Amino acid sequence: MKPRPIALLVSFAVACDGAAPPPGPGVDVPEGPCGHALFVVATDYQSSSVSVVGWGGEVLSAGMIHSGTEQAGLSVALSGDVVAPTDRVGAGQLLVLDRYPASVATLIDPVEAAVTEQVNVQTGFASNPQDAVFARPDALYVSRYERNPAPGKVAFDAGSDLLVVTLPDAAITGRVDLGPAMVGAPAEILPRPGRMVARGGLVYALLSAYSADFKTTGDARVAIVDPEADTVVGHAVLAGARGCSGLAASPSGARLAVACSGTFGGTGTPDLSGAGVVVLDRGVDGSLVESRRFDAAVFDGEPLSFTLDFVAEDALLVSTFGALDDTGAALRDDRLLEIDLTDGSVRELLRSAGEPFTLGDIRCGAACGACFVADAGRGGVQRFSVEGGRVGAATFHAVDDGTGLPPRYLGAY
Amino acid sequence: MIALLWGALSAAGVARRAHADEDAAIEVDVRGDALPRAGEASIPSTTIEAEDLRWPGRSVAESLARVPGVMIARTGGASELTTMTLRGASSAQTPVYLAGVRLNDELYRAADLSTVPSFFLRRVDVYRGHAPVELDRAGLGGAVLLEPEVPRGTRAMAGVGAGSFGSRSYFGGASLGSDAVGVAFAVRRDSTDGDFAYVDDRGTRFDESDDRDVRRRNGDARALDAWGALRVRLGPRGVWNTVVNAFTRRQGVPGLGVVPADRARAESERALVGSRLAVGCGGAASDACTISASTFVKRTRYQLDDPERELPFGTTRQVITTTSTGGQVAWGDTPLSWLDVRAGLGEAIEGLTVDPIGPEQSHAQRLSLRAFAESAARPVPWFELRAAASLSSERTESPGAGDLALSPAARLGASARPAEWVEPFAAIAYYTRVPSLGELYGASASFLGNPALTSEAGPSADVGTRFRAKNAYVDFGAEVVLFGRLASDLIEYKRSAAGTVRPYNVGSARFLGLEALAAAEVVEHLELDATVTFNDARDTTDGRTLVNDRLPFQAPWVATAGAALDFDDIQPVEWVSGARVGVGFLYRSPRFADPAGLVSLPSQVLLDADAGVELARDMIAVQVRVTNLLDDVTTDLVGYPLPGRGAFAEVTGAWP
Repeated sequence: MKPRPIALLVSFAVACDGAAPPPGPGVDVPEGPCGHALFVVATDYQSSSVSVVGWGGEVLSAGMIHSGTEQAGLSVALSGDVVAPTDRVGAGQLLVLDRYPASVATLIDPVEAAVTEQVNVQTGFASNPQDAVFARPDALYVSRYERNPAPGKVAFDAGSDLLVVTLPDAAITGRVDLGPAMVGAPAEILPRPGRMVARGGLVYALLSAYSADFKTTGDARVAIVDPEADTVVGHAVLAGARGCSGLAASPSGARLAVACSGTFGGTGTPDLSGAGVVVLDRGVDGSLVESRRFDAAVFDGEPLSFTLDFVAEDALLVSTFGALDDTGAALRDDRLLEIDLTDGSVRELLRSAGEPFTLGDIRCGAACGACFVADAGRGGVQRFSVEGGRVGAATFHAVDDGTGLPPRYLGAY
Repeated sequence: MIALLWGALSAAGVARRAHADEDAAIEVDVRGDALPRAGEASIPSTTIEAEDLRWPGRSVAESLARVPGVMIARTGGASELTTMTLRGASSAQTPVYLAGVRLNDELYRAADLSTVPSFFLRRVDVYRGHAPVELDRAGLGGAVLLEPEVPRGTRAMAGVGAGSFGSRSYFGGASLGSDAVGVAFAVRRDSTDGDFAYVDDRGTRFDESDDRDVRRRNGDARALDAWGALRVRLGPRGVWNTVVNAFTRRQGVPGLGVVPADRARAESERALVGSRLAVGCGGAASDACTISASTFVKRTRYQLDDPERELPFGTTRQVITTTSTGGQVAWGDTPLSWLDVRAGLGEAIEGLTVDPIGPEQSHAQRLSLRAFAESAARPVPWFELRAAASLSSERTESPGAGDLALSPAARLGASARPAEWVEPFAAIAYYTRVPSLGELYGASASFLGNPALTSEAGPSADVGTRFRAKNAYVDFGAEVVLFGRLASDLIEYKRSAAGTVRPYNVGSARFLGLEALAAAEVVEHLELDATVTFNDARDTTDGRTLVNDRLPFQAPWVATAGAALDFDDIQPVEWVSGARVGVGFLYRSPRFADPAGLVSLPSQVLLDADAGVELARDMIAVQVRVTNLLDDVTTDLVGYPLPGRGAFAEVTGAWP
C-alpha cells in the first residue's frame, strides 16, 4: 500500500511500538542424508513465523518469514493457519500452506530468505489446502480438503481433490479426482484429502472421509495415485477408523502408518471408537494391506493427535491430546509415545508442559539418527536421538524468533 | 459537530433528571451559554446531536468513530456487521442501548451498529469509561445510549435519497400533538447494492501480479425501519414516553474479500417497545421527589442461509432468536438542600435460542434482579461528590445446567467549579461483565460453552478538567481526561479438544489513555472541533509467551477535526433559509491485527465533506455528502474490504 502524502503530512502519531523483529538471515545448508534442514512453523493461530533448524537442533535462522514480512492489505503475508508439508520438500526450498481462507502455497528460498513463488489454489472457493508433495520433479500435488459448493466456473474447481501445480511457472494444470478411491462409501461422504507421502513412484493421500456438514463420517481411506497419469490407481479402506489426520511412511517406504483421533461430534469429549493407529504394509505393486492396528485402549483411552512418524521400520512416535478442566487449567497432559511394532509395547517419552494441545508435529530422520517434536508449551523443539532403532535421550532446543509464537509444525527440505 | 459536555451554570442534581427529560421533550432550541451533557459532571461523556447524525450516507458507526475512545470495526458496507470498542473494551464489554433497551445479543454480546439507522435518532450519548448506574449493564469501558426522537408539535416530513453503490432511501414521518401529548411515527426504507470496488490480492501478498480489481458481490441489502413514539405529560412534573421500533433487513452475506460468498443470505429482524415514566412525588415542599419507571420488550431474530456452505460456519442454516423483557422502578429525592439520592430495583428475563445447530444446550435463559443506588452531595455550591453502586443477581439456565452469580459495580466521583471557566473532575469505579448465554452454554458445534465462567471485572479511574470561555464572538469549550483501567478474568477461547474451542477466564489487560477534545463556535456561524486520543492497551495475562503485549485492533493514536460554516435562518432572502458546508477528518494510527504484533494494519485517513441548503423557510432541505474523499484504501479487519469514496444526497420536505 503506497503512502499518501496527506498521511505523511499529518502523521504525527507514533507507529506501533514493539515493531516486528527483524527477519532471520538466509542460510545455505548443505544437503545431507536427511536433506538440508528442518523448518519450524510457530503460530498462535492468528499469525505465524517460519524458522530454519538444523538436524542437530541448532536454530539456523529465526523468523525468516512471518506474517508481517509484507504489509497487510486484504490479506496478510502468512495467516495464523499455516502448516508444513508431510514429506520433505524437494528442490531445496521451504514450502508452507496457508490453509483457510487464503488457500495459498508459498515456496521460500532459504538461501535468499525470500519468497520465490505463491500459488493460489482456490480456483474460486476456499479450498482449504492441507498438504503438498512433489508428485513429479516439476509438479506438486496439493490436497484440497473442501469441496466447491458451486463448481464449473473455473478450470479444475471441483475441490476435495488433489490439485496439480506445475513448476516452475506455478500453473494449475490439472486435478486428481479422488472419487475412485471412495467406491463403496455412502454418497454423502466426501474424500476430504489431507496428508500425503510419495513413495515408490506413487503418491499416497489420506482421506478422512467426512460429510459436507461433518456430522457423518465414513471409514478413512488411503488413495493411491499414479503421478504420471494423475489418476487414482488403488485405495485402501481403514475399516472403522475415524478422524484420521496423521500419515507417515517408514524409512524404506515399505510401511505407512495412520493416526486417527476418533470423532469429536461437537462436544468436548470425542468418541474414541474409531481412534487409534493403523499400520499398512506397502506391496511391491504399491498396494496397501493393513498389518497392525492399535486402538485407543492402548493409549489409555486418550485421543490420538494429528501427527506421527516412524522412528525406524518397526517403531513409531505418536502423541495423544490432553484436556482442560472448566477453569482452563490442564486436566490431562499431551503425551509423546513410542510404539514398538514388534511387540506392541508403548513407552511414554514426554509430556506437555503447562497446557495440553501443545505437543505438535513429529518428524524423524532415521538417516540422521534424530526425531523432533514441536513443543509449543516450552517454546522450542525436542530432539530425540535415535539409537538402535529406538528413541533415546531428549534435548530441548528453544526456537526464539523474537515473537514468542509457539512452535507447532515441522517441515523438512 | 460533536457537542462537548461540560457543566451547566448550575450543577444538575440527580433528582432533577425528570425535569431534564421534560426539557428535552419540549425541544427548546437553546443557543449560547450552556450545552446539554449526557450525565453527571464527574464522568466524561460525549453527545452527538441530531444535526451531526442525520446526513445522507452517514451511519451511526461513522458518527461514533469521531468520539474519543471509540474504535469502529466494519466488515464491509453500511449494511454489514459493524461493532465498536470503547477505551479498549471489546464490543461484548460495551453495552449499546436503543431507547433504553440493550441491543447486545446474548450469543456473543456484541451490538451490530449497522442495524440502527440514524434517521430517527435525536441524540447519541457516549459514556466514556463510566456508565449511568441505572443501566442494567455497566460496561467495562462505558456505554452508548441511542435516544430516538420525541414527538414535538405538529409536523410532517418526507424525503428521498440516493448515493453510491446503488444506495436509495425513502422516508417519511409525522408528529402530532401539543405540549401535553404528542405522537410521532416515521418509516424509512433503505436499499443498497453494496457493490463497491476493491483490490483482491488473492491471498498472495508477496505476488502483486495476480491482484485484480473486483466489485463486492452479494453485498446488497434492503432494510425497513419503522418508529412510533408517544409522549404524554403527566401534570407539571411528570412525563411518559413510549417508543416502538421495528427493524427488518434482508441482505447478502459476502464474507471475506478473498473468498466471497455468492449465495449466503441473511435476514435480521428486531422489534422493541420501551416505555419510560417519570412523575413527581411528595408534597409541594418536596418538588424534587421523583418516581421513575421503565419497561421494555425486545425480540430479535437472525437467520443465516448458506446453502453452499460458503461461510465457515459448517451449516446451511442457522436461526438465532433472542427475547428479553424487563422493567425498573426508581425513586429520587433531595432530602437535604445539598444532597440528592436515588435508588431503584430492576429485573429482566432474557432468552437465547440457537437453531438448528449447536450443542445440546441450544436454549438458554437468564433472569436478572438488580438493585442500585446513587447519591450526590454538594457541601459547597461549587463542589459535588457522587457515589453510586449496584448489585445484580444473575441466574442462568439451560437444559442440564444452571448457575447463579452476583455482579457488583460501584463508582465514586467528584467535580468542582471553582471558577466559571474551569471544572476539574475525577472518578474511580469497579465494573463487571457477566458472560453471555452463548459463552456459558455454547454457540455452535465448534464453539462450546463453559458454565463455570465467572464475570470479567476490573477497576477504572479518570481524572480530567473541562475549560470554557465565551465572549461575544467566540464560545469555546475543551476537555482533557487521563484514564486508566484494569481488567481481569477476561474470557478467551482456547482449544478444548480436537475441533472444538471453549471460553475460559484466563485473560487480563491494562489500559492507559488520554482524551483531549475541543470545540468552538465563532461568530455563531463557524463551528470547529478537534479530538486527540491516545490509548495504550496492553495484555497482562499471566503466563503469556508473546513478546508483544500491545492489544490488537487498538490504535494508539486517533485524531479528528471538523469545520463547518452554518448559516441558519438567513434573512431576508427567505427562499434560501439556511445553508451549511463542512468537512470532517479522522486519522487512526497503525495498529496490530494479531497478538504477536506481526501484522500491522496501515493508518487510516478519512476525509468527509458535506453541504446542505434549506429552502422556502426550512420546508425543503437538500443535503449532499462525500465520504472518504481521499479514497483511502483501508480496512478495519483483515480480510474485509471497505468502500472507497462515495457520494450521497437527500432531499427532504417538511411541513410546517
